[in-house]
Amino acid sequence: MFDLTKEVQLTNTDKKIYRRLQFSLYAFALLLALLLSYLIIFPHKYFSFSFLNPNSNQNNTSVPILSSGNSLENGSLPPGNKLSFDTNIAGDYSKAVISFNLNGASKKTIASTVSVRRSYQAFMYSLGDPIGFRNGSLLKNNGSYYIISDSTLRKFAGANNPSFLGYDANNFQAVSTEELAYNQLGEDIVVKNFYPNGALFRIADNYYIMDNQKLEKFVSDQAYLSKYDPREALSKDPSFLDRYPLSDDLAGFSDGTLVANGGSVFIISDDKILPVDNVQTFESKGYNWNDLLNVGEDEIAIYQKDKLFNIKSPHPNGTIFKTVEDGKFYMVRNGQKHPLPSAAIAASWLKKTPVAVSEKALDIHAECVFKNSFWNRSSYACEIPLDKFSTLIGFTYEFNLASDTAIQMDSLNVDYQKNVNKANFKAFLLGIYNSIIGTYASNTTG
Amino acid sequence: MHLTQLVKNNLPVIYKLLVDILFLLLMFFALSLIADNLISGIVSTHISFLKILFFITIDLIALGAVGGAAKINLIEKSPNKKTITLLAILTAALIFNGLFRLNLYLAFFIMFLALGSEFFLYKLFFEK
Repeated sequence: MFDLTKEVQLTNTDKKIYRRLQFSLYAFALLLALLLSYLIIFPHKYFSFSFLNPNSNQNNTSVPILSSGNSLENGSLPPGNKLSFDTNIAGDYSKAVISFNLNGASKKTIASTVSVRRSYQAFMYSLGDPIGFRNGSLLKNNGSYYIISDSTLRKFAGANNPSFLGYDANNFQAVSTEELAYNQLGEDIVVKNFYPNGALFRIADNYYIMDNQKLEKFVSDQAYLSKYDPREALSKDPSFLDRYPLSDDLAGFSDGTLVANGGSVFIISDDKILPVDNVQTFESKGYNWNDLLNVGEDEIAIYQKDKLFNIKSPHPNGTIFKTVEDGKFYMVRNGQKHPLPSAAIAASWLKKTPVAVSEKALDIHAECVFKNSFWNRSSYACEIPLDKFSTLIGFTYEFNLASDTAIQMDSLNVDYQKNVNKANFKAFLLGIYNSIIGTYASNTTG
Repeated sequence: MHLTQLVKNNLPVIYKLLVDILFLLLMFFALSLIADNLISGIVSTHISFLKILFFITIDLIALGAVGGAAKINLIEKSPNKKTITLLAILTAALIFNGLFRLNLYLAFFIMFLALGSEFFLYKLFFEK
């Protein structure tokens, strides 16, 4: 063995001791290096929620909720009740070890099971009411012409023709009576030269929308095109601006629009922009790079900057999902997923690629029965292989824990593990390769 | 034998072992830094660099204390020029790699600025 400090002389006895200790030290370092390599190549991802510190920053599962919808921050699960919580994790893991620690006072013999399914968190929301056409949509059916105004369906009355307001009948989209029924019926439009809310205009190279009988200018053409087709806007000369007051607000992009500015990517939703924290989040949420709109500072200045959008964030309001099985559309709105009942309705909301989801995945479950730990009598754990979820879309695992007996938990844990095998090693190498290509090769093109 | 006595009798051995530990820690730190620089987060998601630096600091303090007690002083030895050149190249590569996504000229400018600062700091601390 080499000696880094030859200047320090030792007696023969000390030299022997030093050599032995030095060998042990390097052997120990080698073992640690191997352990670290193992953790890097076959990583674990650990999630936990402490009921003793429910507000701790260390809690990285979602707040567990009871089937009644109430959060379970105190860890007391009544008998026969269900508890659900989510974890968001990118990448494929071989198995999940779910465990919980009982509070000392809790009953030691329990019968509990846990089941898991995988999709996007927002796609696992409860089903809301169907949504009709977007405001401003121009529709026709059986010789009648309509405009969607304040979410209601308003008919151009009189001669069943919208030409009295300057509209070209060819710019109206033919839809079925069933499709029209998804928007509430509003008052007929009878007054000449009176434009309803939602009417769209093209005036001197700018787009406007009628809102509360004021003309609201779109912040840019891109913003208008993220919601509407150019054909839907009525061309007017600048004198039209004198007929209606101008709104102080600017109309922005469609909710769910992906924009890029100065190397950062944002999602627009509810008058806010959510900065996406990294490439992995963007891709793991199913977004498409081709849908990114390059915008200027002035276009995003009308929005309030919200907190970072990370892998734990559910898809925001305005996100549209499309099922891979039968092409059904859903829109995320206020904690529910609302069906967009027809392709025409979906098209009125959708100007970019929808996020692909699998409806079948919601019915694919795996479960296990908790067993008492041999080492720690107050700990219960069980293991679920995740192989059957590996091809499914989405990175949220939703766990549903059911117990026949009342339990008082101190903590709830999920440990995602990768098995040591050739396939996982290959996946690791591929990940390294992609990471290097992503960093260096993509930079040369961009 | 009493522990204090055992330590006192083996101070040179402890000193040599502490130098070995420092070498291992520095090697680990350098390799982790290179790996993390190439593939962001590959090491730092498992072990924070702050922890490694903490152990290096503890080891250096222990070396100072043991060296003082055993009356060993190797600090007078001037740094090896080859080592310094190697470190300068490594530093330049790491800085440049960190600035890879910036404009090429700006990356070179910042890299030379950092190396210049390092050179003057070296002169300040090591020149007699």
